Amino acid sequence: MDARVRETPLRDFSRYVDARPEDGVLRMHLDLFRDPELFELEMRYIYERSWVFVGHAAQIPQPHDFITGVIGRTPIILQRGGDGQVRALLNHCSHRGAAVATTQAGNTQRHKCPYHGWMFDSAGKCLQVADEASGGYTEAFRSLSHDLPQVARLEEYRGFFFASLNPQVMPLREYLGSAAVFIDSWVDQSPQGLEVVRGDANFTYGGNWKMVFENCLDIYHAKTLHASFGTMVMNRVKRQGKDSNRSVDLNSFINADAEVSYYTFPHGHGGMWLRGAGRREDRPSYALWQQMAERFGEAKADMMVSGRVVAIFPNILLVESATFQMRLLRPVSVDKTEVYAFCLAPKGEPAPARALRIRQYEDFFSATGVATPDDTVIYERCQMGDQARSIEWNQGYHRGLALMREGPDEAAQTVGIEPLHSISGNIGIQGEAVYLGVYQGWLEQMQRGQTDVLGMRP
Amino acid sequence: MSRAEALAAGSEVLYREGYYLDRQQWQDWLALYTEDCVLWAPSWVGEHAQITDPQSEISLLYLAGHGRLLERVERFVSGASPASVPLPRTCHQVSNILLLDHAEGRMTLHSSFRVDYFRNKQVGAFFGLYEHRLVADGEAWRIAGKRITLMNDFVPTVLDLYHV
Repeated sequence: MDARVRETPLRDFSRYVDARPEDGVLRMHLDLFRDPELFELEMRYIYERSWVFVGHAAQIPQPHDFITGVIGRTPIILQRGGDGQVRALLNHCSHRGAAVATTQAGNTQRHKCPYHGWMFDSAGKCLQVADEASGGYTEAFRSLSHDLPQVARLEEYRGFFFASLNPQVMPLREYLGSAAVFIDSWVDQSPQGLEVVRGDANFTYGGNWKMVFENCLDIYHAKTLHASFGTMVMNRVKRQGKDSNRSVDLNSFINADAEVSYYTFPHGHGGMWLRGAGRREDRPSYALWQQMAERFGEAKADMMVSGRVVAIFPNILLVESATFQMRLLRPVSVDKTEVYAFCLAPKGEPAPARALRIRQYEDFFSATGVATPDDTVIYERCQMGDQARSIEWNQGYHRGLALMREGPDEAAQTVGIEPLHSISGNIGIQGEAVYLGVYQGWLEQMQRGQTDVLGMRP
Repeated sequence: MSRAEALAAGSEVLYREGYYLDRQQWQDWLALYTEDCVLWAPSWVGEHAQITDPQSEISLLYLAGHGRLLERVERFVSGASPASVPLPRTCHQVSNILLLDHAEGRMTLHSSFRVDYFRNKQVGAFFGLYEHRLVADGEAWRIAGKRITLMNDFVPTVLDLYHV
């Protein structure tokens, strides 16, 4: 615990979340996006107490493969040992604290701290305290473990690794709840599961981390913010014909008789499922529809070729709009966020479908593409506008609130999703009330984190 | 064409590309490229390796055909894309030009680049290496291939064609 926490006064976090759906009110305090102190508390009470996504198994397939990352502010190494087991270790030499790994990814049997030469194996075990024999060490020192400290908890859900610094955190399966049905809908696309398509394309933006979390569940913005993408796709079809460089057409997303469902889940997760939006033949996963239907039935196979999003609080977004992307969020400060982006794809996908997937991914999702930069720039504009100190509350979450009901809608029942709330109907809703679940989760986790941490005060 | 003449003609194209981009003469810039051009910025895999196959790996940019360049230009000048409103002021600097090979009607050039930009009171820069593949088109030389090795690939908010 930070030394400073002992002096931290108790905060009433409920004053940031005005969620009274029964009165038709759902609004958030702008300090959620602009208060540096609140950001520090989010790191302490959410990121360093709860489950945080740290990586996918396909990023470290071989023995001794590793990736580096953070849990809140705590640097970690996620590494597959020589025994094949994946461990989450603190990236912190137990001697003076130097990070022992500095690259984003790699493969090594040994981490040697370059400062004084202490050596650790790929399971974190300390192999040597350099020149220990001649060092005049005390018995008290010798009785210490010098290993790289293990992160308190590491659990995997179908290839997705989550870690927690809190030994008492609830089981991961309970934390995910039925948001896991969405994860399944990608993992089950291929009997061999998912792989990460090679190539790094990561980015930062000058805005709060919750802005991208919100954005991925928001299709209200597609028609305006991504208008230039829509125009581009239309022109592409006009000039080059329907089948060259097919893109999922966002125009038909919004205009069609498509249906949408939004789901809130406990602990801050949110889901969105679009049915009949865009030509499903334009999705690379459609190549596997027949196989998927045989294995899981048509309802689930249909879900697997539809637009859908699940945002697992606080830091992983699985988004299939124009194509499929996994995003890992790393909040840096109240107004800066790093986004690590991954093209996940079913193993064994036919080569033409894979090439189409890659082109769609680069087009829509890359910071070098033609949609995401409009999003990232807008987060920065929101960050700028949210500095209006005479304004306390935004009006950002009312769309669709009148249609919200408790429990699953019909669509959810067909595939076994059990949400807290559903908001469903014609795609024209473009609802926002799904953020009720996100911010109730935020509040629940902030309050629990504060109680736990301050409960540990001497 | 002698080696010296090829180098001079090729360098002229590289300098001119920066000239058009920095002056926002988009149509002139587009006219430098052939119909079947490929503009490719491969992504990195780890510290010092890059992807090798744009059909099975993720690129930062992979634009095959003139139409792909045109649509990107149309988008960023349209005013409908906040990512490019306002467009940044850019300054391309191209140096270390080497003629890697040349033959009748074609040549390949290596160069280093740095593009400084200024937008919303903030400065930034992208830098790296180019490899241009040029082909003769009558009297003129056109760009059939531009490979961009972008060194600082952790993209700050936006990277578009005018940045590289």
